[in-house]
Amino acid sequence: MTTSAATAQDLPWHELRPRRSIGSSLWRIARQKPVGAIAAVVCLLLILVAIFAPLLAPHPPDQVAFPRLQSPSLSHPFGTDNLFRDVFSRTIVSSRVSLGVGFTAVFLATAVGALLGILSGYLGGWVDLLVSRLLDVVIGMPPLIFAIFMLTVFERNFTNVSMTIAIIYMPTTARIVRSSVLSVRNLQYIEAAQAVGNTPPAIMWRHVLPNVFAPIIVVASIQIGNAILTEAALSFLGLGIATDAQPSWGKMLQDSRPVWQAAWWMSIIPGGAISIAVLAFNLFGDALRDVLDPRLRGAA
Amino acid sequence: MSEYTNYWLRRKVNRRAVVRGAGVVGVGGAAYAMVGCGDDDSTGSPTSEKGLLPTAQASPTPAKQPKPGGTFSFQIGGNPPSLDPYTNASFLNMYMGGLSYSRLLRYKAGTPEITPTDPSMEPELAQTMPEQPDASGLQWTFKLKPGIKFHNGRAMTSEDVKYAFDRYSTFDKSSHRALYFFLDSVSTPDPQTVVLKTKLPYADLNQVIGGEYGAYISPKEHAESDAAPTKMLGSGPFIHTEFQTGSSLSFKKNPDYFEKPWPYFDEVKVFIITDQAKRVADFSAKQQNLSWLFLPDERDQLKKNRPDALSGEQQGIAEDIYMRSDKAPFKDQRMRQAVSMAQDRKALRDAITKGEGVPDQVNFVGYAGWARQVKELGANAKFWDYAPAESKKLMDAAGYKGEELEFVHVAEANIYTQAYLDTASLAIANLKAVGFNIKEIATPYAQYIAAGTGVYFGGQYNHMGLTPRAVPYLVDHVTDKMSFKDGKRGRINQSYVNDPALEALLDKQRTQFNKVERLATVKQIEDMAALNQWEVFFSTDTRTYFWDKEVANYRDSAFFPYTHVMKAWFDKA
Repeated sequence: MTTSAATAQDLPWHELRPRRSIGSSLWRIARQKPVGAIAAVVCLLLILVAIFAPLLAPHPPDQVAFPRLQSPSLSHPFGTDNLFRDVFSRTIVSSRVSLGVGFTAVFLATAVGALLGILSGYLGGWVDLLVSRLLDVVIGMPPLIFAIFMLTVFERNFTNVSMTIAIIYMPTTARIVRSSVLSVRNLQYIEAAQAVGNTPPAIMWRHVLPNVFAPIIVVASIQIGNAILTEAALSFLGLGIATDAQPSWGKMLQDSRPVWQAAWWMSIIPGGAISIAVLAFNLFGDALRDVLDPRLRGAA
Repeated sequence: MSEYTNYWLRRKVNRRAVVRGAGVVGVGGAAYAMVGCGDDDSTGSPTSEKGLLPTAQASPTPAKQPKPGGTFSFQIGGNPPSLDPYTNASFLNMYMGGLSYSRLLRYKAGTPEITPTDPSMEPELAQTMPEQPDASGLQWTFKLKPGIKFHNGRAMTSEDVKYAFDRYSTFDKSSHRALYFFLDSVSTPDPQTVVLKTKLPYADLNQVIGGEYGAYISPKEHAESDAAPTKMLGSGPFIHTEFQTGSSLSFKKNPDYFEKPWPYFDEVKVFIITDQAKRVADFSAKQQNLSWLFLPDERDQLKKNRPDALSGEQQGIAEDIYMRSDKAPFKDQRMRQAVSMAQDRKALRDAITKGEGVPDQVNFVGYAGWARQVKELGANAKFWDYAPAESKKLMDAAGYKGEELEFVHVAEANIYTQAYLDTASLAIANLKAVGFNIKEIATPYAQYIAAGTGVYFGGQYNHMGLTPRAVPYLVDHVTDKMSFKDGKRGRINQSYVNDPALEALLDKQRTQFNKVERLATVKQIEDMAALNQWEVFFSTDTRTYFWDKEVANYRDSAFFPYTHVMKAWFDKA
């Protein structure tokens, strides 16, 4: 006992805790959160499919060369649509728009939302008042109506669609970050940083941001699913950026409307893809929150 | 003069033709064969003085005693942007205008004894069909029926008609000014007489004033009030009572309607339903008495859901590709021909309309006696063939090197239907397959059509685009589509057609009152259009009307679907 206690006192602090490899850490988390782990694998697969879609799709998505409305078969695993196209290829290629817009929108929403949340929470005063009212204004607009307005007025391209969705989700991030900052800014290490003369920007960057990073990551992971859903809704309404050569799951759903009763696969498959993606990112986000939030760590 | 004045517009089907027609309702396109040549009985009021039955019209079914009463309801597919007939030309409110407004003339089609594609007119406000123009061909006289009152109680006089024509033709916010280019002046010798004087002998006058965008008479006190965009106030069979934007319109019977014993219904309710699936569901659930414009898939679904309902099919909307024929690469006729020969029209029909429909040159589709099918175009019919190899040869001959070409279409399915979007998809795929380098531009309708002309519809596009065909309702429709006179493009000349030889033919046909002579000129125009492929037409499809079997004395029409609602009644046991 004496020996061991003496050894522990002699060790550097970071070696007091037994080291685990990344693999073993992930395995431990996977065992604790099996649903989250499966969701993470699905998310990873979806991302890989989106990245390598041109290589994975057996046919160009706009190739008009197959029997019409053929049910799923070996030659066409997801069947063919009413315009003689391969649904499998279209589903794969569609992941690029759906995930691409989803990730970009959430990246923008997270970056801007986190910045506003930190400024608002840390600086307080008139900055907090201004930012909070600005967020109230954005939240007060019906999201879909706002998106329709934006995409009717401005040119519809990848950037504008992503920015529109980002504006919709930015207030949520900003508010969550603000509330986290409010609980962090009065802690002793912040006071210590102020006492030694650090400037507010330096404190926000070096001390506040790292300590509110966990909720930022969690909110972002959950919002990806929502952003995918919003993009699908816009494409379904004909307001997305999807074309025949670069479809999206929402556009595939829209295209299926005249024949959904005769060809179930035309609506079930893109609808299923949207559901799987949204569910996977939401479950992954939930699991991430459980792992990163000390209060929930170890909870059932 | 009266013998040849629009005499082809007075054609009426005889009993045999009508019975034959009733037998083939449900077969799209067959209606063309049904146009008979019967006696003209279009003069005088068609109603009896005493009874409830109209007297002067043949009927293919045993005459039944009308039963007044009840609320008739139907669906429309969009919200009318404005109810003011002078300043808005949307088909949505123009179609319904006949419920509350009256015109000098109106279509005959819409009752069982008239072939749906028959473009003949009958008097509405006028006592008879005009027996002019006079020897000069420039003067048309109309006598008003007695006892006509607006819904505000004021008697209508010829001054009201003059006001309406002046407003249509000169008001700076009128949506119809171009349509009345022919009108020189309107005079009113007495309160019951209106004289229209035209700048040129104009053979389509009756069709303009009574047709799809006919001159509804809205009184000055209403037209110049703030209520005009949201309320109809005319002299028609039904009084407009309510407009719930985006939801419904309500009408009640006009007890002072000048054509007794019409109307029979006590109320009419119009439901605005923009979603096509909901339209199918609502009619299946018997929520309305009438609906229309259903594509074959929807038609079959409705026939399954509502085997009790009556139906009728009309040759429907088709699309066409328009191109900038004034600049490269589509200035070269061979490039436009290549676009046409790249299109697999049969595959499009198979994909979108269950194989139904026919290739069409569209200029006069639905216009009985004038429509000329592709197979009748002689050597030029080959441009409707699906010939990818020939298409490539034409592109090569024109020197096309694969430059990127923008293809514009409206993005939303609820505007021109999913069939339009599917046509765009397949048209682009067909073009790519033969080597065209296409960049698809799916644009919001608001940008496409903004402010009446829009960025793209107004001609501000670079290469090509897809549009539903404009519905022809008069022969001179071709001027709208292909004229470029004095540096001014026709209203819907989206392809920038500008050909002096064609212009001369366009000028000629509109002054020809003799049908045989005019048909010969029109044929020359069609031949030129077929060879030049200024617009590349696809196939016309079939659109189906459905209505409850209890709705008596109603029939589908290729023109206004609600013109004769006042003549229908519920024949319930």
